[in-house]
Amino acid sequence: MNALVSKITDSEVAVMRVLWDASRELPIADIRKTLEKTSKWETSTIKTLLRRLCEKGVVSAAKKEVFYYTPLVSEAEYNEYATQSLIDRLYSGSAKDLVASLLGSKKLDDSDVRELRNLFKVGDSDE
Amino acid sequence: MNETIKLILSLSLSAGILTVLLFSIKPLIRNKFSKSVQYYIWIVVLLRLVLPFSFETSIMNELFYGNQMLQAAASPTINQPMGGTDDNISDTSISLSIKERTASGAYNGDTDHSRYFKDLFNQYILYLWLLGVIISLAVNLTGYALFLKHIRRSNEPAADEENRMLAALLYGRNNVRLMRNHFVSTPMLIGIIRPYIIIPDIKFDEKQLKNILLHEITHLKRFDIAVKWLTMIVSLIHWFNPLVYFIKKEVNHACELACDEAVVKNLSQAEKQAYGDTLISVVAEHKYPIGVLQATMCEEKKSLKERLVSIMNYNKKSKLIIFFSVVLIVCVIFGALFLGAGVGMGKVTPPNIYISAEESKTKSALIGTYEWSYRNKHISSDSDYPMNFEYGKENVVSATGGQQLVIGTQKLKSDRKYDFAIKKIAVYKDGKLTESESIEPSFIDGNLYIQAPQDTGEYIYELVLTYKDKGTVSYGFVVRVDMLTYDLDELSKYKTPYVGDNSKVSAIAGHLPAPDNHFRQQYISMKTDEKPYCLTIYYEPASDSEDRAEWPIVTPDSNIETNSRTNALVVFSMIDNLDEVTFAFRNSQSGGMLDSLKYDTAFTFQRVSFEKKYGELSVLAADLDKLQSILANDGH
Repeated sequence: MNALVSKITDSEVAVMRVLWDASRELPIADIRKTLEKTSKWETSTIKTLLRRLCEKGVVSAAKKEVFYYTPLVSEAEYNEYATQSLIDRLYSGSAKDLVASLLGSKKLDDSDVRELRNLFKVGDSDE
Repeated sequence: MNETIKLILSLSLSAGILTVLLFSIKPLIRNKFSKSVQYYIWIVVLLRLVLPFSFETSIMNELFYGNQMLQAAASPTINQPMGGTDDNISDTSISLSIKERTASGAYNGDTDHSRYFKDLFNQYILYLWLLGVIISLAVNLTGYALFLKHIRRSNEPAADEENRMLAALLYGRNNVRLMRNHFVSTPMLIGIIRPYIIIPDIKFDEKQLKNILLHEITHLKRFDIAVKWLTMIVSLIHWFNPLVYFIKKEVNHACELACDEAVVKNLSQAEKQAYGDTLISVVAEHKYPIGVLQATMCEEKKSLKERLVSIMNYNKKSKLIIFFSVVLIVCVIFGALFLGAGVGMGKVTPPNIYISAEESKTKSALIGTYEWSYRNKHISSDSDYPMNFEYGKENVVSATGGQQLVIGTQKLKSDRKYDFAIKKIAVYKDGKLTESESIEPSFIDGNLYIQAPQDTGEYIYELVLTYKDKGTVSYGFVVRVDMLTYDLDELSKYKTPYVGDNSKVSAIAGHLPAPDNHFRQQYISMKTDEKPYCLTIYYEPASDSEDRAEWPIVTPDSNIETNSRTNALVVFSMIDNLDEVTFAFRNSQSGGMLDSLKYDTAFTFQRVSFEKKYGELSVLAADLDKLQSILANDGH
């Protein structure tokens, strides 16, 4: 999974949903047929959405006689991600100021953590 | 400028100055003083930002209201008696709406429109500020509420041994719940009333968990959540002040440092090491990569580094440092008080006094000669004796004989209350001093109570009051005892040739003074089909107070009858073809229905008998001065 999952737009989610519901790889014609019921998107629009999803690495395209699309991220995984990013956004918005947290929300990378571990030696600096 | 805006601005500026001073001494105290002391100092700043308390002599009050003082002091002698109900000096420009002023051409002389826009700005600035408060309130609260909603939904109860550890650390207090949640990245304490601790849903060893809980419980015990709410309220009120955002950051940081300090205070070296290691391992826990938040990572690292260094360097403070800490806190508190807020000045001129008698409107006295000191500035003014003042309607109190008059400096709640003592009371009737022993002044609750004279007539009261440390002021007002006061100008507007003119006749009846304060006029009825044309005016008790001792009233020449006679004179002069007027009284309230049988006391007067005495009555309405003099001389 990658960070870009959280950046899937609402219209892209609609396309993803078709793929999740089908639970098998689909050609664009099938996707269009399903989407026709709920939206007025042109084939070109759907193509663009699918291209973007492929770029984000959440859908894979396999060339047979036409392109067949498979989701790489499950619906559960996506929901988890959406909630996580929502909570993170809310937390760093105003919630952080109203709760007493042990630490800020930002994670440090390995080199920073190593640096802090090296720095923090109670015995050395004291006494 | 609006007083609320002045207050907010002065609080903002006051705390702003304090903040700048504190930031400038921060390098000196940062590592020497206890973190808790530094935290408390910021709480003082927060309180300065919300509490509108201030001495009148504070810097901010001087800044925001000081020029008003000069204006008033610039004209120290006022020869005319000052009266009026509203001589508040504060900006009169607001009270006139801009539309009116534009219409009246107040801006016509301006070459540019800056004055117009300034006034416009002043008028709407309060709404602008309120809008800011509401928007930031909505944004903050909805964010917080949504956060809570999503967190609650995904909370899972903590394991039993974790709850046991929490209970052990709380020493029996068990109003806190412990939850696990795999969406949060750091342990946190949420809520004031029903607080709960949430920890990330990852494996902590016993030591780590203990340290985490110690930290959160310390927050709980120190009411840090309440401080955080206070900080939010402050940032809502002062949304326009950029310094407030620095203060907010500083408070939150100082809060964590102070909390760490309180935790490690009781820990051994090894435990301190473990506590700091816990902080590092929580921050090192990579569960989700969060791309969007990378930008401020550096800041996070810096802040954590400072916390770790503080934990390492924690030592007991020497007595000297503790002494200086106390001095510093006291200095900051005094600084906050000294800077103050723009709360407005007391009146730079003597206060008005207001006189009220039960069941009649509150009137004000005229101010005569006075000496008044205000904050080392001395104003004195000479004027004529109260005997010779020209009293207006606003200065005349109608009372019944022996009625209690209440005199105080407060008419509205917003008026400032002054304590005073009597230097002199003199009562004049017909230009002569009367016996004033019967006045029997008494003070209740800062108000002066005196008894009105028993005998009917018009009295001029001269009252000299001393205000402690402020000055001496003489006042004058008129008390009319058992006399009717007519607003003839108003009454003559309704003069009509025909008794059948219902609206005008009811207006006349309504504008007549009641023959006795006990009564109020409620209905009228007319007989207009054949001569003589009759009018009946009905009175009933103004309140359902106790019954009158004497009822029905039959005594000839009773006060109520005399007054009704005077009223009849006025009614005949205002209604040309009226032949007979009756004043009917009942001793209980009507409850909305005219039941003429219940009116068991009535006085009837004929036009003819009045015309014998005064000549043609209808011309009197055109000569109000003559009518007035007849009423004054003949009423009693």
